[in-house]
Amino acid sequence: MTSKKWILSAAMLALTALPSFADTQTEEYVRTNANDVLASLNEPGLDADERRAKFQKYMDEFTNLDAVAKFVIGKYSKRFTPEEMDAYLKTFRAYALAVYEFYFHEYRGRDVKVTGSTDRNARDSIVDTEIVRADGQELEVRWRVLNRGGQYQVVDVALNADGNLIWLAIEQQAQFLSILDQNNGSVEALINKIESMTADLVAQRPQDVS
Amino acid sequence: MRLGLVLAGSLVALSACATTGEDASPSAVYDPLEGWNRGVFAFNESVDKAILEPTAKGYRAVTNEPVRDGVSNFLTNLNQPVVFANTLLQGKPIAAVDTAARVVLNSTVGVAGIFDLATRIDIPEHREDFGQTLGVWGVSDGPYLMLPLMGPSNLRDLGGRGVDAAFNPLNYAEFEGDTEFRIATGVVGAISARESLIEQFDVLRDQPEPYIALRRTYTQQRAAAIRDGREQEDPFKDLPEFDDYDFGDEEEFESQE
Repeated sequence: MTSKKWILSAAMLALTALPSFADTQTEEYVRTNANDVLASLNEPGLDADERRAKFQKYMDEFTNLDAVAKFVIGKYSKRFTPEEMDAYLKTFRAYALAVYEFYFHEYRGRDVKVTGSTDRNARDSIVDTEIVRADGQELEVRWRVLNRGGQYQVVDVALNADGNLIWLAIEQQAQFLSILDQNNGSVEALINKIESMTADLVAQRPQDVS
Repeated sequence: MRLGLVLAGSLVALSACATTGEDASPSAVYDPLEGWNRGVFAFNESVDKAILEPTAKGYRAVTNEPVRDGVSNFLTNLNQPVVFANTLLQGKPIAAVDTAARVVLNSTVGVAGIFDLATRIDIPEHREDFGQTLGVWGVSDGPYLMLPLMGPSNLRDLGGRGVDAAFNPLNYAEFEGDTEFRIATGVVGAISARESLIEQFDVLRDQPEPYIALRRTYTQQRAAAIRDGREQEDPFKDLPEFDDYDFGDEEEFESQE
């Protein structure tokens, strides 16, 4: 075999093997990062602020919050001015981190087990996981992971409720669009709403347990 | 009932109110009466906050879990003729046998249904109603409806409620104190159901847009109930794409590929 032919066939082999590689890598990406995120909420030796800072750093690496923020306002993501968009992204980021922290709190320090995955295409996969809570209750969580040039990022999470997959970003989009539609697309109305929800979440924050 | 259907039908015909929020989503809910429904939702919320929620919380405060389970089991048992009829109409003989066995066991050894012995010996409970039966037969939801005091529904499920009422012999059986019994089970049923939903109501009220959240949750839960809790065959097929929203510096990534 000439070296040219060899390279060609190796390249073809790599191409045909690509989907399964993508799967394994995506699964590993979710397993490692989801575990890191939940562990960060449970680190002894850190105070609440340090723990929060670490959690937020992991979330920023693990997820693409800007993509989620734009997705949940749908058509309005092209209508906001750059200044409005900056203000909205900042508000959304604080809200999303507060939401995740609030809901992940019950799962802090728990083990995330990958149970399977589905590739929608080479750039878009769903990874199935199971998280067992301290009280023994099992939660099925699916992570939607986009692969852009080898960089993975989570953009949505689904919970299984009696056979019904609830995708959080999709549900949020329906609600945010409704708020915007009712307020003539006013970014201010949306930001005010989000800020009041963030304030509620912060007020309800579980007390430091360490 | 019939009047309700006619009324709902004419409201559908009269209304051209647009559905807000989720037009682009494949899981969008058909809600041509949104303006009316939102009014009913606001009314239900005020009645709930003034009467139902405090009553449900009071009920939780003065009872313990075994008592509440007993009440809930008793009421569930009374509804089993409806479940039985619907399992048959959906062509589910095993579920029908399970349901009949549960009624016999729970009504006798389980003291009028207060103790759910059937579940303890693994005879599963089935939850079927005529709205689901219509769904199994291929009838679509129809317009979403917010019913005064009764909460979310749709045209199909509202029709189903009427048929279910006819399936339940307790609704027309004549016996000593029958009217009082029906009123009492209705009132206790409402309190018991509301008590079991205390946490869900809190979650719903924390949502950015509770009306939309409830509309979508109700519709998706009913679709899952019609599938008997099985996941959709290809659950990821209709997921929306993120291409318009993600990264923003995609060219940069593509040039690296």
